[in-house]
Amino acid sequence: MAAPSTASLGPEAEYLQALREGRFCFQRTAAGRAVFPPRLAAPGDGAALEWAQSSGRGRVHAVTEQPQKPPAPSRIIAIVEMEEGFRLLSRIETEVPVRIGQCLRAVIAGESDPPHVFFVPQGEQDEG
Amino acid sequence: MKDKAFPRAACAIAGAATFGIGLCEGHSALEMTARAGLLALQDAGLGLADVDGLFTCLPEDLLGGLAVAEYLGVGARFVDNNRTGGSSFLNHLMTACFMISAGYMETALICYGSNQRSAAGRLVSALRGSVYEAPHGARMPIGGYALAASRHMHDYGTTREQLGAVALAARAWARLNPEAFRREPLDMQEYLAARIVSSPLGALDCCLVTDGAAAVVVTSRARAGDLRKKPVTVLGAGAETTHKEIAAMPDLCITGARLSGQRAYAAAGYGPADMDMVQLYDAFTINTILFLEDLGFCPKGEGGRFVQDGAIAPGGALPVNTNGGGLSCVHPGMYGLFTLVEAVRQIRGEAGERQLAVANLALCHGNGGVLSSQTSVILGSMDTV
Repeated sequence: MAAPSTASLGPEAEYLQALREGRFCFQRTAAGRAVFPPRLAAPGDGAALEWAQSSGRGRVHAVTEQPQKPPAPSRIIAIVEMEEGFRLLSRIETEVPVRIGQCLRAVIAGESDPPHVFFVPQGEQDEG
Repeated sequence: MKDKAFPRAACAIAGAATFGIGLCEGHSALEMTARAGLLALQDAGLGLADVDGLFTCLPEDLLGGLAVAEYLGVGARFVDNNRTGGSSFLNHLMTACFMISAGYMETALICYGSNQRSAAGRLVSALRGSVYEAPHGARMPIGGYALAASRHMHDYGTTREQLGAVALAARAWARLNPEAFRREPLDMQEYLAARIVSSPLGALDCCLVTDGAAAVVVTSRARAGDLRKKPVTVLGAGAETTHKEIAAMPDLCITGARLSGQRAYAAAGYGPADMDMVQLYDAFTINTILFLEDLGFCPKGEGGRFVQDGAIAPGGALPVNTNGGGLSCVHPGMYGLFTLVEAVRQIRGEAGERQLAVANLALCHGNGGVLSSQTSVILGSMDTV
């Protein structure tokens, strides 16, 4: 069961709490439309939402590389399209160039403040 | 139909001014805003006592509308501090036209100023990242535009050289404008050599960081006809908001300008082919390409090829950003109001060396956030009514 544990919280706090507990969750309507970031009701039509757990598998939908002051490595910022059909902005931690369409795997940074999800190219070792 | 509810040609811009473009040391944002407002009223031949409504937002004061109302002693009947980013002032104009035509007010002052270059030395943005976006440390707003550009290149084969053509056209226009901040020549080699800030966008794909203030005075068309300057009428306007943060943009290659433009055209009774000029918010070079597509000047995906051979530069088929735009003339943080001032100057025939031979109809387009808020306004000479 993917449902976050604390039902008295708002959806944002529920999402963050699930990350702290190691689960990357998103929301879905009964019709199967995926919604992210978490909300009280589906945007546009107000449909009821239920939590679901993401597989963590996604693809690069768009990507930009932002050079930092040396010696810091460039920051790779991407919009990731998850296989469940929602998108999010995140960073990709990798040493090799990233291309649109590339497969990614989510890494949960549950101890960070705020907790969040970043990505690595699928097949690489966990870095978080 | 809702799109045609706009009070076509009921109102006109009677005064317009800029102040402190480039560097304006020793002035606060509030002082610059007030100065631009006073100059626009002087241009119209009106005084502060004529102003019923005030429309403004300041870069860092969230209640800046109240600050300007107090400073100038105007706006008691209505103050609008609506802030949707750089599109704010086109939204202000839209609201003012409805309120003036409904009779609640007769004259509105829309004004803005920022001293971000002399005070902060960097872009002062009101954008704050959400708990979903902020942890990644992305440089914003440029990152949002760069993501859209990456997708446009992927889907349509748009190239760096085509983005560069936008930057070169803006600079070529700026070279004809004594008020513009960057007037030295720019060639493709220099463009391509500029440092990358957020790929595929480099330093010369980015709007300037300058000081600057602008203001326009809006009143009924009937009243404007009795004032000092030739009225520039507001024929149509429309807006559309699609998201706040870039990850929520429904399609990175299609902006709300498609709908805001359709609404403005429907209200005005004119289409893209009728426009003598386009004054649009070029925060980054990709904006110009996306907006020319979405506003109907070329098919989706063709923006890069449309601009690549100088079509939007001086002497080209479609004059775009004849002042040099946010890329080469002025960018104090929220550029939208400058699109209106430049269109007014062109339509009045006051644009000096950059004056267009035919300047009756202008499409002005404002953008706010990260391609989030889009507002289109069509201005015309009295012949277009």
